[in-house]
Amino acid sequence: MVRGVEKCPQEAVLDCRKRRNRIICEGLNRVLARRAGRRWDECRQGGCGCPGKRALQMCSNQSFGQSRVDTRGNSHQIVVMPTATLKRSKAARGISIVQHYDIAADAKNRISLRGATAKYFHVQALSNGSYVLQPRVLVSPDAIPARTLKMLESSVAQLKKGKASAPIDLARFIEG
Amino acid sequence: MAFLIRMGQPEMESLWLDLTTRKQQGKLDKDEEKFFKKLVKALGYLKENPRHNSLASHEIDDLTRKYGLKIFQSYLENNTPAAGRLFWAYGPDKGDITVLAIEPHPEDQKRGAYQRIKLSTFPAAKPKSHGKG
Repeated sequence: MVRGVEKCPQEAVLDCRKRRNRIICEGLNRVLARRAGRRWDECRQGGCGCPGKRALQMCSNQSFGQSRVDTRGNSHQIVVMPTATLKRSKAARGISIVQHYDIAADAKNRISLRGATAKYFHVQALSNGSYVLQPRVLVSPDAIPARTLKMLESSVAQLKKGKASAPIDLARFIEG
Repeated sequence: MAFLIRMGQPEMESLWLDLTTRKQQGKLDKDEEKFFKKLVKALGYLKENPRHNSLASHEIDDLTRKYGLKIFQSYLENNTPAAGRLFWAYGPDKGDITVLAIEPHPEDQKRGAYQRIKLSTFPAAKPKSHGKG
């Protein structure tokens, strides 16, 4: 049937895996050699008993399919290879869980927050059914908007220099 | 004693010129026409008596402290929670009042107050205290 066709991609994948495996091993060997106080070039040429050399021999004897996976709870990740985990931001590190409880929505699908510290919240409903609440504060209605404040600032600056417009004539606009 | 009303430079002056020019040309839209009418009325009161009851003029301490100049606020309307506001000061000469800024429509709850909601900061985390013994 299509066996011949199926074989080719598998070989390609294996080749690719072997290449990757070799690159990983070489990285490991370099580190082990450095830890043993040896130069990588010396280890590669042979003749020394440093861990880098031993690892190199082990690696060359192993094919990808024979690589060992630790099932005893120890990580099988290679130490020297950086993992793809993201470092947590500083802001996230400062947050800790202070309350932990289960709650049921009432007949109108409402839930109550216990000991809420803010009156207003910004709610984000996530696709996985989670909700994220962020505390918000209302800006005072007496606060002056930035645009008005800018206008005020420029007018005051000019007024302090003694500059203002000519007196305005309201008589034209005041209805009789 | 009637005061001379001046406009602050440059924004207030240009706003006033724009409004008056368009008023004379009859190009103000309905809202602008309404606003202009209120403004002229308030300025009329301000000219005659800055402490007129309708204006509810009062000094804004924060602004006075900030600019080192007595800044007053008057309302363009009465009995309206979202009344427009007028900021003014005495000067530059004696008998002069300079209108420094106008806020035509303060944003109340109906007009986007919720859009101006700002994220509050989390209180600083307290260091964990380890019990003695």
